[in-house]
Amino acid sequence: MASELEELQSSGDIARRRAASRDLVPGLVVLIVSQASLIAASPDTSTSGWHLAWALSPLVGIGLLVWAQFRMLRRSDERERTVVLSAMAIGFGVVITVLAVVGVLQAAEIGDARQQLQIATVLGIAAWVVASLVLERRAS
Amino acid sequence: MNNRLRELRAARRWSQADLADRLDVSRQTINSIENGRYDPSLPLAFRIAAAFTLPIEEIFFPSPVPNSSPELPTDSHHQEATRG
Repeated sequence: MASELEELQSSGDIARRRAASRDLVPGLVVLIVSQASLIAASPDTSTSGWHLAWALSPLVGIGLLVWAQFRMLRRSDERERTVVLSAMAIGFGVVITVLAVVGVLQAAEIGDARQQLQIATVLGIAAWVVASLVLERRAS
Repeated sequence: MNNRLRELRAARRWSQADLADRLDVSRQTINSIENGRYDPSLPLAFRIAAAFTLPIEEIFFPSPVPNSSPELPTDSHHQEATRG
């Protein structure tokens, strides 16, 4: 019975999870819609300011996601905050390392800079997520 | 650092979720503290002590240090404290 009780989530956990989901949805929706419209229409950013604004529209979704992450961090307790911030530090380290590699590749004129920067971003986020999962598992 | 959190919680028939709600932390945090994988900050340790209405030193105590010398000031201080 005790082990069954220990598996239950506290009401605070449930409330925090629901609040986090509520915060994430607007950013995800805006990001998906803006990215889909960019892929579908493929605007030429050099032709007008309107197209440039459209091309920058994913930044609104990214900003909302960053804000959601910030609110999630403020609601976390001290152990969860330590895990998230440690994982962020690992992700940041990965991004710095990959950017250094990208700099060397670009100095040698190897590869497309835009693709390499996107790879650096994806690798940084992936490292953050994996580090979060590993640190959370080790701490619990 | 060792603690008696699990024992004290069981004596009061509180689940980890109950204690987590009382302390406004996640259930995983209670589990980590009970398993000795996470040492709480001093403010959280005080909140835990208040929840059990016990002094901190009756809940948390240092892990035994292997090969510790009795001449060390920390050990003599600890011995005096335990003698009362």
